[in-house]
Amino acid sequence: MNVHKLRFLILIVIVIAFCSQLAAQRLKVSSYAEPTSIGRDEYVTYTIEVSGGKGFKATAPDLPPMEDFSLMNMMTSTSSSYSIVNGNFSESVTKSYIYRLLPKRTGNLKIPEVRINIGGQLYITQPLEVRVLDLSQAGRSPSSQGSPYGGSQSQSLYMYDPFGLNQGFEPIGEIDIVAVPEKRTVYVGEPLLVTYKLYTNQPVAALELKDEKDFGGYGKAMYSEPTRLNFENTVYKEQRYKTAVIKVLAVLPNRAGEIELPQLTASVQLGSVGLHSKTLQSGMVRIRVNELPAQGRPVDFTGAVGRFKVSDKLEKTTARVGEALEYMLVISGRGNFNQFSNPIYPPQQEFRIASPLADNQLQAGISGTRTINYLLIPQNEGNYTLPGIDFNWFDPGSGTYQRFNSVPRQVEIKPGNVLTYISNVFQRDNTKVLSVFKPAESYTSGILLVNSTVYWLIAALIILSLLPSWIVASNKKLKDIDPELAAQKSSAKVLKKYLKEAEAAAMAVSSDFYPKAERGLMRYLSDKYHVSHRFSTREKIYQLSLKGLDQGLIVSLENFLQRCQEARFMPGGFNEEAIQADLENLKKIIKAFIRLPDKIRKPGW
Amino acid sequence: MKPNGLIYRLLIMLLLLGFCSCLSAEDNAMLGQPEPDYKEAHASLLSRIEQGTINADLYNQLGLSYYHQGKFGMAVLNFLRALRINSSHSEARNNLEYAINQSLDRELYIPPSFLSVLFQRIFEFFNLNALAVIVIVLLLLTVLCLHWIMHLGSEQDRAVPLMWLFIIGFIFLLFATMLGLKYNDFHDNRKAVVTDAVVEGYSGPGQEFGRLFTVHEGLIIHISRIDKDWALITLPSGGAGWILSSSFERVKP
Repeated sequence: MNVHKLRFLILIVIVIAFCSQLAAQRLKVSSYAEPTSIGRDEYVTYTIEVSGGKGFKATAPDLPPMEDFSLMNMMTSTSSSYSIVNGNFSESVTKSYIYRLLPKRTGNLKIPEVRINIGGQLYITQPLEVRVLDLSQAGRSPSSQGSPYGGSQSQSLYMYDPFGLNQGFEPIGEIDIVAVPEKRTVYVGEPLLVTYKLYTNQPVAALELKDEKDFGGYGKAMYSEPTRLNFENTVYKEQRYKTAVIKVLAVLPNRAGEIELPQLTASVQLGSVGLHSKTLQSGMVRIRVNELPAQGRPVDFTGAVGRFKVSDKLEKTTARVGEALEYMLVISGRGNFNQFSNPIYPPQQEFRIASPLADNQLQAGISGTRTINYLLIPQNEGNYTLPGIDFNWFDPGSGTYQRFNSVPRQVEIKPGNVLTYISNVFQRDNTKVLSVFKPAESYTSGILLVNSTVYWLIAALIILSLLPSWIVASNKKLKDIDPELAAQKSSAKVLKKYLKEAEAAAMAVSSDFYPKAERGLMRYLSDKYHVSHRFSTREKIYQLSLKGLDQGLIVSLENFLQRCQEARFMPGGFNEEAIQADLENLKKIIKAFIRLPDKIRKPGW
Repeated sequence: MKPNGLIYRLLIMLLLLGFCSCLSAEDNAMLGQPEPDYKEAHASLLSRIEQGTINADLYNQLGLSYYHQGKFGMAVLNFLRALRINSSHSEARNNLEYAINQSLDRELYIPPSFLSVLFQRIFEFFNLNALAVIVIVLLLLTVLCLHWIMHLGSEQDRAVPLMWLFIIGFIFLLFATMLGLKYNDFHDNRKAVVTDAVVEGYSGPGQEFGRLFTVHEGLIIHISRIDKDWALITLPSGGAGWILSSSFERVKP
């Protein structure tokens, strides 16, 4: 691509950009009125719309003098729309100037053409005709509505014509903002309300608060600001005026001498037919601020100035150790609430006192009620006297210092419980006082349990108790799971306990085996079935047979005992093999008895 | 009584026992007492300690007597000794916090986070004896649960006793750990209090080393190492340095 072609392309781009800019600047102005037919006491909305590309600057057009209509008010609105056509993005802005016009008579009335100058270009709207009838048709009576625009504090305050234009009011063109202090002489710290009033004898279409110029020597707060102007008749400068409050400030002087009150600046739009803007500023107003008198000033003066009513209250007079008692100091009235701090509760040895918490129900920090809550947490039981709080202030009405003296109260503190103790544990942030030095008559050494042998002995016993319990449980479990194995284990124990000697004799191939076996076996059965040891062997067998034991087993037992008798008294009645066989037989009998439950149910049960 | 009910009752008893033993540590004080003779009372308190009496109230009162005589470091030391015996001694704790707030080196105590304060206060709430009682009761309950489980028939459901075993076993382990830590604290020989009015800290065990910091009477320190007449200490702020061993007293008598 050579240089010529590049230049040509750049030129084309510039031309396209210029054309699109021109297109953007092309404006369209239109006007319309609705409804076109109204009643005599209704209004018509006349709208002039200017639309075009982004960035055009237009100011609200002034309506020409109108014979048939009077202007109620005017508002503006702006809207934007975006579109993409063939990939091109475009933005369109429409500004609407909306006028509400009241007809002056019935008939076919004309809204004249309006000339609008935008960026040096003159635009002229078409004249419109509105039919005004005697009877109300649309039902949009302006008197039946509130503020048509709902102006907020930060926006213009639009309003209706306060003068009743249709009642013959003739504007003479005076308007003023005046600052009116409620007093001309105050004390340092005494709150003062300054009311800013609008005085006018011509229609006000809109008012916007612009600025407040401050001077030194005071603090201030907004006390009230009406959302709409409520006009009243008054006489000002010996003439008939309308007046409305536009703002009330609370001013708190903080130095003695002469101080100048804040100056308020507002912009108003005036007019009955056309609209004219005017900037107003309140005049300079000075007040005298006196020092608080030194005479009679309390040493502990809080700095509170105002007309106060003070009371106090203790929530309850009985509590437990650690349970909070709530003491409330209530200060109500009008004064410099924001210029004095919460009084401190006097420290108490037996109470921990939390930092006070204030609940303010105040307007502009100067009037209302402040409730200061103090939490007193008793540390020890007993009967105590709580002093309460004394509060002093300067009363500008009487010019004297006042004092509220709290009445001391008796409280009973009972011993704490677990809950109060726990809550106390987590409220240890407010350590203010050292505890009382009061040595006891005698001190006993505390026992440290972990250093005591008894402590560890108890712990060991608790743990060791698991061992026998485990053995018993294991045997029980084994009996359930494998009764044969359990019987074997038990028989071994029985043999060990009752037939140890017999077994030893059998090992030694001694004839002592038989009497020892007989004695051991019968001892075992007597213990198991609770048969008296005093009975003879025969009697014992009889007793056992009565207990419902298996007859086969009884017979085996009798045979074994018979064998013992024979072996003992028959010459050559035993030898090594016979003894071993008899020992095995004895074990079988014992196993059979072990398998039987300890308590045999009697027949017929 | 069902095992569940028994365990509930034992748990409640256990908690009550713990709290009661903590509450018993509280001491009462009276208002309206005339200004006491601190020196005379101080001598009496000291003689009781020399006789071997170990009592948190005694150490707390001794700390107060030191405080009122202007011996700030010894006051802090004795408040700490009272808390070593009974960590839930609220008066001693209050007095210690008051003393720390009065300390010249109070800025060295770094404010702990909310959670650590919470855990610390729970830990302080249970003194050594209370923990010992709680642990033994929890041990008993744990063993009872084990007995219960061992003697259950093979066809019986084990879910409930196992649940109790885990719950009680966990609490037991928790308190046993606390008891161990508390016992360790009790025997901790490293905590000390500066008793000299002004103490210089050096980078080594001798005045020829570089000076690191200056601390004052009443500061609570941790001893890391002893080298002849010098001790390597850690400050509450985390800093470390060497100071003369004669300038502090250990909390463990």
